[in-house]
Amino acid sequence: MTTTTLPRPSLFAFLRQAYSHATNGGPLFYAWMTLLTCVALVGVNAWANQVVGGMQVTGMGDHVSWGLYISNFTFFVGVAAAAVMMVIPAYLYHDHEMHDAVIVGELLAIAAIVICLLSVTVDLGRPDRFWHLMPVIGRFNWPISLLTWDVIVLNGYLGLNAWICGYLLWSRWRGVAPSPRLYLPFVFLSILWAVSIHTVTAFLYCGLGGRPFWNTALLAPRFLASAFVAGPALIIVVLLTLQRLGGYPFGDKPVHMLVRVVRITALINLFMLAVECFTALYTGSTHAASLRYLLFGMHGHHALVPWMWSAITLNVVAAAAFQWPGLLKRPRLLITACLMTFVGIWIEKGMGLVVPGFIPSTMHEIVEYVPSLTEWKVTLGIIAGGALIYTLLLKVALPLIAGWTPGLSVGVEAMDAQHRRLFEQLNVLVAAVRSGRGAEELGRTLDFLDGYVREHFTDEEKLMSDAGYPAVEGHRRLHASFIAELEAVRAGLATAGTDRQVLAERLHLSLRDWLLRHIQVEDRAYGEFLAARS
Amino acid sequence: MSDLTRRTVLKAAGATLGATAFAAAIAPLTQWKPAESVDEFLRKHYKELAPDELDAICRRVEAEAKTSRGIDVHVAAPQPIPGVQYGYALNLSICVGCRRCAEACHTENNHDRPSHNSYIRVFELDNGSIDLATGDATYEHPVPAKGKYYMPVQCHHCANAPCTKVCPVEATWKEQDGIVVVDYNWCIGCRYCEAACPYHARRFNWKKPEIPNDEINPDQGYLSNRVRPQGVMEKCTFCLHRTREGRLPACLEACPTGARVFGNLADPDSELRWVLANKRVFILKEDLGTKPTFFYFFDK
Amino acid sequence: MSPRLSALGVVLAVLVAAAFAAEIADRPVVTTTDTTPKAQHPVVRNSHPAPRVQTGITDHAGRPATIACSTCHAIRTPNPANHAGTDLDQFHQGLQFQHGGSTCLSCHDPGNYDNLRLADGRKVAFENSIELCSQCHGPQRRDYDHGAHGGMNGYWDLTRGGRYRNTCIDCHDPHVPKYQAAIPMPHPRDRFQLPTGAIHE
Repeated sequence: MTTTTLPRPSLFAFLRQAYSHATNGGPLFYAWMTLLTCVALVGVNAWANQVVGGMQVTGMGDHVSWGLYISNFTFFVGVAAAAVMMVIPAYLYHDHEMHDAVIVGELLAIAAIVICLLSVTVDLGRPDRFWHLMPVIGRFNWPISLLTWDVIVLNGYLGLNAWICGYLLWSRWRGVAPSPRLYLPFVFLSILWAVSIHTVTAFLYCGLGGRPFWNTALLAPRFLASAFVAGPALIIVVLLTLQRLGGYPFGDKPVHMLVRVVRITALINLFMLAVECFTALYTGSTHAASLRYLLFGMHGHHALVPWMWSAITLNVVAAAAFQWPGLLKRPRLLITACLMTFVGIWIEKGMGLVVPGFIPSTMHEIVEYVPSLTEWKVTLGIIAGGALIYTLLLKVALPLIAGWTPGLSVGVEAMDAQHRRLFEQLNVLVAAVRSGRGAEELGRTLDFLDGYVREHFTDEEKLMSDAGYPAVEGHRRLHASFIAELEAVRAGLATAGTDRQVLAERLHLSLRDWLLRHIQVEDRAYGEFLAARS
Repeated sequence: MSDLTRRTVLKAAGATLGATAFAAAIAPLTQWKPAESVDEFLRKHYKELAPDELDAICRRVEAEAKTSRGIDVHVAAPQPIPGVQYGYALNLSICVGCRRCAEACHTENNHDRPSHNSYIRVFELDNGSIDLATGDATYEHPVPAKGKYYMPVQCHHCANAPCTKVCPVEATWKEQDGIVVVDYNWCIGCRYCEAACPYHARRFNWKKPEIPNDEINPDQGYLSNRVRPQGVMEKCTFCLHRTREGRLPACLEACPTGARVFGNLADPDSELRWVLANKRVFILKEDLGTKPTFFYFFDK
Repeated sequence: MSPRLSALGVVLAVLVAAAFAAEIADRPVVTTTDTTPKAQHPVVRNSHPAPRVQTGITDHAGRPATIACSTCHAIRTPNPANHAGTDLDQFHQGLQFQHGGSTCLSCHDPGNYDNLRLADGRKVAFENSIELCSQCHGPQRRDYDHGAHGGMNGYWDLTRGGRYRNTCIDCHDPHVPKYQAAIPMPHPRDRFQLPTGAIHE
């Protein structure tokens, strides 16, 4: 048997398709992108004015010398680190149902790191001297300065996630199975690395002996705990939103897994905050001055008190909500709880952790800090920029994950069209399930899918027989076994008492996985046979 | 097809609009004049400069003062004196809190006038307590006030300096003679050192310093009191443009009571060493292990 | 007292002073020498000579005529009990005096008011008043000698240059030696946008 290798789609074609995916969408997409662009541009403009006029346009001074920018930086390091919450089950424990959702987490890590790097950049008094920070051409004070460690781990984490996502998507685009050697070591490294980025960021603070508020060994554990609250909370919101708006069939499992994570981490985070408060406040040490200022105000100054109590309230209420099993059945409430704790952690870790480190100052002077309008503009601009990048990354990646790609071409146009239609129908099915349509409509969708699968298999088998493809019998058996499986699942759906949603999503995931692998291997084999013949 | 074309046109229009808006957003940057030449921008780190390069740079700073301000200044880069380790001791028993040291620092070191900046901050504390939380650095009543004592705080030039450790680009370091300096042309302005310093000794140039030309101290050091650029850190340098030529620092000369003792720690016969050996010396925040070369002492 | 009578008094006083001159010369006069061993450049102490008293008269060139303390004091009998301006009936009545239990003659030499004198009777020139102060204020003198008391300027490194030093009476009025309170120099502002003293919020 002679075979010809079917051509794989080129990088250029990939980029073209990525561009097309990234720039095409419905009115909601365009409105969202326009909004983000506008906010980002307002931020760019505010930053340009800050560069020209100096950092005097911020609310910072020699007493509180870090503010909103570094607060936001610290928070988003945590968000980036939280991507591992999806990576660990997906890759370490080979949980197939996590495989689609994990890319959502990894891409979020990329966007979050970009937010971090931008937040640090806008905090620089001399952004024009950024190159001094680069090894070799600058003067990199490594390993003494923890900030150089942060530069390494943040950029390393960005690189790792960019590589893992890029390689997996590229493989999917080309229709080949990714080589584990080329991504698994990086996946395991990224898990350790995620812990490192937040540990190193905590060390930036707790390594400063002159600031007792930060100088605590509990800081890194607290950072990680709060990261594993805020990060998963955001990913839950993103998954639910994508399922609702884009019809992406992630299934319930990733969300359930993340909710279980937040249930624990939210409590651990609150526990550690309580431990910090006890240790500092019970002794009455002057080292607790910042905490006292933060919680109760001091000498008539209480700018941070409302912030902190809002954060505590949000986190406590959200943590309690997460313990309630019924939350999973109520997406709106779940999203609300996630957003509450996201905002709560943002305050606790930013304004509630970075700023009080400076109040009172090292010489115990109380100079308060309120971010200026410029700082708000720049910070919101950066977050909008990160959201913009994240949206574009998801726009490119999700169709690749869930749909037919040119790399899956078997070289026969009719078959490619049917395959594409099959993928589309799978997504329609899950969209129907997710949007809570009635059993009747669900049944109709399944009927259609069933009929379409049979039709396609018949066409394909006829094509193979006509061409004298030698392995046609084996191929037919595979088709038959798949239809049998489909029937079994349909029967299960018809039986009363079965959790239809779970069943349908499982069906979908195993069906699509099967289809993907089937097209990649067996269908491609006949495609190459046909190509060699003609 | 017409739909596709329309979409393309709309996309092109959107992209053009976006690009125009972006250009408008960054437009303020065109007004940015970092007040330094391309040579200065590409300058090597201070420690990598050969003596002749350093000399040429000093001449350039002088020339820039002439062009931009029309004034003659002398910029020198005095090097550490072998065998000298600078130290400073301050007598809390006789400091009256007059802030003349802070004022002398202000004029000597070409500080920003509107902020009335100084590397020295004088704290008024209650007798019988060394709790800094009771301190006040903004008193305006006649001093010394009853029941109070005064503690001027400035850079402690620590042997184990937290600020130099944290700097990501080595823009601040401890010189051979113990003086902690900042390379104003290397600092990226991240302010990590300011967060690290336990003595509130560092100052950031939140904007371009403003000093009338006729008030500029023309006797300038490259690493010390030359006029700093916007967006960089600065700090007390023990007036190295004076002290490395054997002169006393400006804050000491301004002190009316002689509360300040400056000298060579490495010289066992120095007045400073006598103070350290014979007075009740204490080190501010000694528990932090910063090992300052700035000491406080009491007479009684 | 008319100007004529005053002038007569001055002349008389000068004559009496000259008569005492021989006796002054006999007594030992304490002087201070700089003891800094490695000094190549001098440490110069501020010099305050014996004060001169304004007469209110100008000479032919219009310069104010001043007289030495001894001009008057030579013809007056010293009163060891005096210890404040209020004890006096003619001169120095406004003089504030708050300096422990000392009397005028604790420091001023009744034998010659153009000198000071130590407790043991040795004469000290006004230029060396520090020696007088040091009798009681030993610790301050010790600190002064070690550069730990009293303002100065010049060079820390005496091999490179000299130094000028204040002496006791530059800061301490000998009659009211307590350091006087004064308005301090302005403090730095915490934020440049705000007026002095405002706390940013």
